[in-house]
Amino acid sequence: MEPILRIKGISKSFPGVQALRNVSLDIFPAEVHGIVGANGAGKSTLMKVLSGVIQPDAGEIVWKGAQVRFPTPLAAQRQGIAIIHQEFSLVPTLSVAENIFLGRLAGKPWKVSWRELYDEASALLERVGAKVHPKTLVRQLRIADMQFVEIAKALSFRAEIVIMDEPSAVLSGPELQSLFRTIEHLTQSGVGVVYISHRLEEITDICERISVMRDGQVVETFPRAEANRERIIRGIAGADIQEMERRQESQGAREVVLDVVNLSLGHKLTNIRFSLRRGEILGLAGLVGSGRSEIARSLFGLEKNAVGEFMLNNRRIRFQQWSPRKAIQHGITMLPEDRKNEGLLLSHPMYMNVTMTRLPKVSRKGWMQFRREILAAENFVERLRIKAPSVHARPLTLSGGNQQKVVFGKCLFSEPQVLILDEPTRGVDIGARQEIYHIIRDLAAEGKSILLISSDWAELMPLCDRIIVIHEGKVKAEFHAHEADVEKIMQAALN
Amino acid sequence: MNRTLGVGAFIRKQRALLILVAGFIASSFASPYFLTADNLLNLVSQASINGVIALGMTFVVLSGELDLSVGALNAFSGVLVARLIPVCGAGASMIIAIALGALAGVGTGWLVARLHLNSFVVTLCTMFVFNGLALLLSDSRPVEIDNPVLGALGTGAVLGVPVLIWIFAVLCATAWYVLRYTWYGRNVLAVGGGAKVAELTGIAVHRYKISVFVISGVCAALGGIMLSGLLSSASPTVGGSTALSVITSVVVGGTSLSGGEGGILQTVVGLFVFAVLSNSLSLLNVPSFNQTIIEGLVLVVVVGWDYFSRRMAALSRLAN
Ligand SMILES: Nc1ncnc2c1ncn2[C@@H]1O[C@H](COP(=O)(O)OP(=O)(O)OP(=O)(O)O)[C@@H](O)[C@H]1O
Ligand SMILES: [Mg+2]
Repeated sequence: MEPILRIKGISKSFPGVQALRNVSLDIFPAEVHGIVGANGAGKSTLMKVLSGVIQPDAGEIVWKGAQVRFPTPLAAQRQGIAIIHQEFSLVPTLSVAENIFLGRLAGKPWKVSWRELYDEASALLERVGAKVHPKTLVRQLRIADMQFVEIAKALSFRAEIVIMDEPSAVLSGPELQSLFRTIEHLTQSGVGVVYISHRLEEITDICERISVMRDGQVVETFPRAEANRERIIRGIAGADIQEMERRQESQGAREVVLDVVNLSLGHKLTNIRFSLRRGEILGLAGLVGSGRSEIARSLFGLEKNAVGEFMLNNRRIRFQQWSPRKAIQHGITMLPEDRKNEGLLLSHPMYMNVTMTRLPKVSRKGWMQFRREILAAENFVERLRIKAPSVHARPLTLSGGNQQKVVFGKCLFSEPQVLILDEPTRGVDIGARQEIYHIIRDLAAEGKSILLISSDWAELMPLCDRIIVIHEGKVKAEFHAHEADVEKIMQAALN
Repeated sequence: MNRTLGVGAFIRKQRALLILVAGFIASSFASPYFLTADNLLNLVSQASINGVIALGMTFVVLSGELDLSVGALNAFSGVLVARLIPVCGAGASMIIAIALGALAGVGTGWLVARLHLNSFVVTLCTMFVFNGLALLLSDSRPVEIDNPVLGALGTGAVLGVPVLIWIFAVLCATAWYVLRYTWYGRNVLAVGGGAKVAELTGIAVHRYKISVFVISGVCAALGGIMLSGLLSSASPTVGGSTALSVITSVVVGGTSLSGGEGGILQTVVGLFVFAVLSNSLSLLNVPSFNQTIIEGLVLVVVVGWDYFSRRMAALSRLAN
C-alpha cells in the first residue's frame, strides 16, 4: 500500500532550540501510527508542521504522491488533515456546537441555521461518546469534556488523516474506551490516525506502527509485533528506566491532618467524608464528572458554593469561609488541573513562575535576590528534567509536558504541609514521571500529606497508601493500596 | 537574558528605543537649536508632568487594568490646590490634593477589584465626576495662583536642573526599583499576567488592584500640582487629552495592554518618543493640528512595527 502522507527531511528550529532535525516519516491510510518520545522531543512541533500551524525551515511534505505546502491550518484542513492539539484551541465564550463548526456554521452567511448546527453537533458528540449538550458554553466544561469537543471537531472535517496529540492525557476507564472506539471507527472507514501518548500501554494496545522520537529526530519505527515496553522505553530515553515498585505496606497509624467531616456542593458532591493522615498519600479515583476535582477545589477554597466543614490540624474550618489565600496560609497548596489558565503565567519567565509561590525564600526583607531566585529555578529544571533553553524561557515556548513540570516545581517550591495534586503527571514523559513519583514519595516520607487525583489509574496503585473511589459525587469505595487493582476501581467507579 | 536572540528579535523588542534614537538624531539635524541644553531641559521638564502620570499608569496597565480618569484628576487637583492655598497654605493644600487622589484610587480600585467591574467603564465614570468637580470648584474659569512654594516647584531649579525634572527622575527611579526588586512589584506583574493564576498562588489579587489605582491617583494629583506650579494658574479643562496621551506613551514603549509585560523603562522611552517629536515639530514651526496628525501617523508606525518586522524576517528567510 502507498503511504498517504510522506514527510521527508523536515527541520525546524526556534530561538535556542533545534526542535526537529531531518525528520522523515510515512503515514498509511487506515493505520494507527503511534508516536512516542520524551517531553520536548519534537512531537507536537512535527504535528504542527503537518497541520500548517508552523512552517518548517527545510524538508518537504508529500500528500497522495504530490509535494505540498500548508501555509495555513485551513490549507491542511482542505486537503484532509485534521488535528487535535495538545493545548486546547477552543473559544471559551462560544457554545460547544459553535466551536465544533467554527468558521463553517450551517446555513447561509446571512442566516445561520441553528437547528441544523445543533443537530449535527449532537450527532458528532454522540459518535465520540461525549455527554455534553451542544448549547453549553465551552468555558463551563470540564477539561475531559473539552477533549471530547476537540475530537468531535476534528471528526467534523471528514479528514483522511486525524492527528491526535495526547488526547488521552485527561481520560480514564470508559472515556478512554470510547476514544478507542472512535479511533477504530475512523480506521475502519479508511482514515489514518496519528496518535501521541505518554501512556505506553495504550500505544502497544492500539497502534499498528510505532515511531520513537528523541531530540528532534525519529530514531526508529517498528510494527506492533516487534514492540514491547522495554524497547519503547529504551528508545524514548536512550537508556533503561527503573520503574517504580508498588509501595510497601505503610508505616503505622499517624495522626490525622485533614479530616473532611462533610462536604456538599450543589448536585455535584453529597456528604463527602474522608480523612488524610500525616505522611499519607491518598488517591482519588473516579470518572470524569464524578466530582474528584471538585473535592480538591473545595479543599483549596475555589468552590464558592461548597458547604460543610473540615478539620485541619484540629481546627474546625467551614468551606464557605475558605479561600485559596487562606488555604495557602494554612499550608495547603494545590496543583490545578488546568495548567494554562490556572497554573502558569505563560508569558513570564519560568523562574518567576516557580518562585512566585514563596517569594520570601528568595528575598531578604521584601527585596528580591535574583541570584538565589535563578539558582532555585535551575535546581528544579535539573531535578525535573525540564527541557528549556534557560530559566528565562517563557512557559509559552515550552512543550506541554515541560510546562506541566514547571507547575509541579512551583507547587513544591511553596513547601506545603498538605499538597493537593490534580493530575500532576498530565502529559509528562515516562522518565520524568518516575522522578515525580519519587518526589511525591519523599515528601510523604518527610511527613507531608498528599491528596492525589489521577486519570491514570495504573499510577495510583503503586503510589498511594489508600485509594478512594468517587462516583456521582459520593464516596463509593475505599481500598488499601495492596488490595486495589484496576478492575476493582473500574467497577466501583462505574456504578 | 536570552543570549541566542538574533538582531531581528532585538530590533523587534526595542522598537520604541530605536524610533526614539532615530527621532533624536533626525531632530538634531533638522534644527540647530534642538541639541542646546536649554531646549533639552525644556523638553524634559515639559514631559515630566505627563511622565509622572505615566509612571502611575504603568502600574495600572501592568496589573491588567486601565485608568481613564487621570486627566480629570490632574485638572481637579490643580484647581483644588489653587482654591485651597489662600485658605490653608501651600503645604496643606498639596497634601489634601494628593490624599484625595489616593482616596479616588481606593474607590476605583474597590469597584474594580471587589465588584469585578470593568476598569475602563469605572474610570470613565470617575473621569466625568472629577471633570464636573473641577468645573464646579473653578466656576469654569482658570484660577490664578500666586504662591512662592508652588512657583518654586513649577519653575525653580536645583543645581541648574528644573525641580520638575528632579521630581520625575526620583519617582522614575523609585518606580523602577519597586517593580524590579520588591515583592510588591513582582506580584503586580503576576496579577497582570494572570489574575486567576495569581489568586491560586495565594496573592491577594484585590489588594494589588486597589493599590495600583491608588498609585495612579496619587501620581495624577501630583501631576496636577506640578502643572499648576508651572503655569501659575489652574485650568479645569487642561486634562482633556491627558489620559489618552499617557496611555499611548505607556503602550508605545512596549508595555502590553493585556497586562503583565513591560515596565518603567519602556514607559520612559515611549514618553520621550512623543516629547522629542512634538518638541522638534514646534521648533520647525509646524502648526499644532499638523503636529497631531504627524503624531498619529508615528503611532501607527510604532504599533505596526511588529507586523513589518515579522514580514521582513519571513522575507529574509525565503531569500536564503
Ligand atoms: N513556539 C516555540 N518557541 C520556542 N521554542 C519552542 C516553541 N515551540 C516548541 N519549542 C521547543 O521545541 C521543542 C520541542 O517541543 P514540542 O512541543 O514539539 O515537544 P513534544 O515532543 O510535543 O513534548 P511533550 O511531550 O512535552 O508535549 C521543545 O524544546 C520546546 O521548548
Ligand atoms: Mg507535545
